[in-house]
Amino acid sequence: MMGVLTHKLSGDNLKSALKIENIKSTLEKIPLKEKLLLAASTIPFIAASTMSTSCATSCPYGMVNDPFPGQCSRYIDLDGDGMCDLSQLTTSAAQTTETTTATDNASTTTSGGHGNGSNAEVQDSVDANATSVQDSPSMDSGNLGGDGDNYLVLPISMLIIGGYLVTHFLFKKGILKRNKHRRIWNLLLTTGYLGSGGTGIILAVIINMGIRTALNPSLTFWHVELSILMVVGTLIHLHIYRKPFRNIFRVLLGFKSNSRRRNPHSVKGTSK
Amino acid sequence: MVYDMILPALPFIGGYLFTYSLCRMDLIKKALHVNIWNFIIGAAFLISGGAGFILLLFMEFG
Repeated sequence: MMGVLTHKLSGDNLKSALKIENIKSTLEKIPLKEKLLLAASTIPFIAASTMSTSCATSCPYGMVNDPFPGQCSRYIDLDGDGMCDLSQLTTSAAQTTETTTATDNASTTTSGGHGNGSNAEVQDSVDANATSVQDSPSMDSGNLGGDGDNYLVLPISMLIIGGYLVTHFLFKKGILKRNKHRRIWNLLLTTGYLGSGGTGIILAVIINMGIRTALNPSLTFWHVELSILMVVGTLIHLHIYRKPFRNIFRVLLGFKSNSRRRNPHSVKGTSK
Repeated sequence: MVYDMILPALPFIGGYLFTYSLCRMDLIKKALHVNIWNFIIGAAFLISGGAGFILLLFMEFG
């Protein structure tokens, strides 16, 4: 009896809580800072959803049964059947269209001339090395994007730019202090430079010494991803420090700035 | 393909030590020393980072 009563009461409370008026009044009570932080916290989920679309397991160009050596740089053949895995469909309805497109593809590749043949010979030796790496996909822990050269350019760029817009807005509204805002982006930029530079040096040393390991694709992947952070972070850095950036050229080229006329003893051009 | 690492780094290390020593001897202003190397870093970024990003876009979009 008591259980039924409490169940009914909690159901009534839930229904009243879910009414639009109550939701509106609750939202109005939340301070602006928390609302903005809540909105900012949705950015990773939006980026993740774009990542899932950019890391699709089907052919992004809509090709079906793309034969070796493939029409694009994303050609991958893990099962060794001579067809790009991304272009292979599993439904039976698609198989009737696959045969017609496969013959079309075959005719285009054969009419490509001797250039394709020589490329195929080169790619045979490359594929031998590639399959030896791909046999142990578990070691390739860095390749979160999935296949081969599928780097997450747009999602990471959007994530970083979106994050900067949010922090810039918070700074303009006075919620985030200038020092903290600059420190966040300086730290991210340092991470990008150190990561990209470090992995680049390691890759250069590995390539110079002719070392081939299963970690090479992972290193390359993280080198590229951190480089994206470095590039976008640098553009953001230039925006944050746009005034000292302009002063660089004034100091180097000897142009006199307006501020120097007011205070000739001030040391300009050093970013802080 | 072998990448040279030490030889290309030597002019920059030497150049930095040169400008730093000029700055310490008060022959040039600190602002000039800082701005020269900010400019060089900026140029290195534009060439290396810009070209790398363009290459990545070419690879990504065929």
